[in-house]
Amino acid sequence: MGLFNEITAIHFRNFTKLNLTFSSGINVFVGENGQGKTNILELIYFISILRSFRSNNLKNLIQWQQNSFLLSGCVECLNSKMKLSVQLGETRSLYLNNTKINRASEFIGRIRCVPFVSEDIYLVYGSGSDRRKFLDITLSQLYPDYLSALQNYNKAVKSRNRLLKCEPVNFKAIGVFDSILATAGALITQYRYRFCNRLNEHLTDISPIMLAGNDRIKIKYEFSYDISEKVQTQEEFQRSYLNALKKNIDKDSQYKLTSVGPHRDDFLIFFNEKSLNNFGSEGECRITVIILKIASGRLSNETDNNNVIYIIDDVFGELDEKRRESFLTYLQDIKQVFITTTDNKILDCLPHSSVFNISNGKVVKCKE
Amino acid sequence: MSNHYPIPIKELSQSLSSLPGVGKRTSERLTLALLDWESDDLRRLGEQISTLKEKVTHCDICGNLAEKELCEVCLNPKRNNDVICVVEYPQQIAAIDNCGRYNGLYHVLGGKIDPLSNIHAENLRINQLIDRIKENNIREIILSTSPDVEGEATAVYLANELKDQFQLNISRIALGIPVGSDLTYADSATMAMALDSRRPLL
Repeated sequence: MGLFNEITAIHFRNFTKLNLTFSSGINVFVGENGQGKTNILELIYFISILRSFRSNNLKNLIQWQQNSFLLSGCVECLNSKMKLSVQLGETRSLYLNNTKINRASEFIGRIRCVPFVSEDIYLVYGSGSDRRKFLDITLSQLYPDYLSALQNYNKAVKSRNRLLKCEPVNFKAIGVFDSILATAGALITQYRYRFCNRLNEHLTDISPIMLAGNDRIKIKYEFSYDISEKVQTQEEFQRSYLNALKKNIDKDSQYKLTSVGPHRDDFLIFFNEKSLNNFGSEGECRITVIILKIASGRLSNETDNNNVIYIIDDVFGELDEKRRESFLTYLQDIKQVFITTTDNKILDCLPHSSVFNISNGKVVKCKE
Repeated sequence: MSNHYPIPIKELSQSLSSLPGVGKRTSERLTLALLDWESDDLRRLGEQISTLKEKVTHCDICGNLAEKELCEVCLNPKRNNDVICVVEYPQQIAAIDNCGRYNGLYHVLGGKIDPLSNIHAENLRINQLIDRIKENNIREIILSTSPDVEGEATAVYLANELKDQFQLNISRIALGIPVGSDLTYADSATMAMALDSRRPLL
């Protein structure tokens, strides 16, 4: 929705107190390893979606020997300004324009942020849950109803699993949660399925530019249950999923787990029609992840009327000069980009950017 | 609590602070305010508190809070006795009754189906509801459980149970935008709900 004019951080990672003002367009952070470049990106990401791309334990984000951190971001969107703040210690408090708000779903999505970070490689090497996390985070930022459906869905899965573990199993109660799962699950599935189809269109556009020769990347949404290829509407997804739940109830009660549904779906990545996970080389995997992220970033940006920001953690090392230039052209449509690099030479390719030098937790703006 | 207070003050303050919405400072303030009361008033308050549980019980029919076997609602002959509104807790009856739009009977379930907190259908007063419908000429059931996953599950469960056994009008209260609020600031989950349960105007 918007872009960052200013951020303030207190006791976040290696920053005791940090205040930075940004311009639209490209902002570059230059510094040696271990100085806190990625921490700035993590900070920006955290204000956007209240998660870290590096750590599941958010306590790790608090500065060593401190009890809590406070982050604020002044965000400009549609000519108006707002202030997003989050404090995290024992509990988490969220503020919008200094007024406390209770629902995370009202906080997340004010800033739509696409990360390009080294952890992205899990899209290829990781398990289905890593790929679902990618879909969930991307879609939650774009569609608030996706996030609330996902929260309801996850709760209903947990409740259903608990019911399956009870003796004797109450099938009537399970049936009730089936209908709740089907409603929320159908919405989730339809968003994900459409997203994958549209992602493929972008992959078709990008592959020839970023890959050699006729190499192509494709993805395919993989259901955890049998479903006709013709299924399109939300009602059809709901019916198919409800049928699958009913069909698998014997198996589910045997294993005491809900075995089918969006929480078990996945997507497969193909490099020239071959499964990347099984047959891809190291280099192919790395470039595929970058291309996937470019495609999803472009898709988010297009869905969101050019309101997406990018955070890019030193991916240039992975690209040769020609691809680096192609990659940079993809950044031109993006309202605001934050890049970290150890390599001063990158700055030559980015003549119109703001540059920050970062050393031992101290950040100095050296070029507007 | 400051250390220099006498122990009785500390003890009462500690007890009060376990009430909902009462923190450390409020409990201290309340305790000190009580210290200024007349002894008779304090005795009356103490008696009100100590006899509260003996004097208040649950209605045999609907589960509402009551002084005797039956609650005010069930005793009132002017109420429609062919409609039952199903709620989770007694305090929700007050909320619904205060709106003045409803003049039927109530049934308190005592919670909602929440497997994660080990509350199952058999822990709720569902059989009592079924008996009531069997024994009385009930025409309509309004399911007023909370609009969250558990409340929704409870409503669907009840609807399934009842529709198999009885010829009834079963409805769910509408969910959506609060009256008098500004649409601009409605959160998206509520908005989606409101759109789903929109009604034709003409």
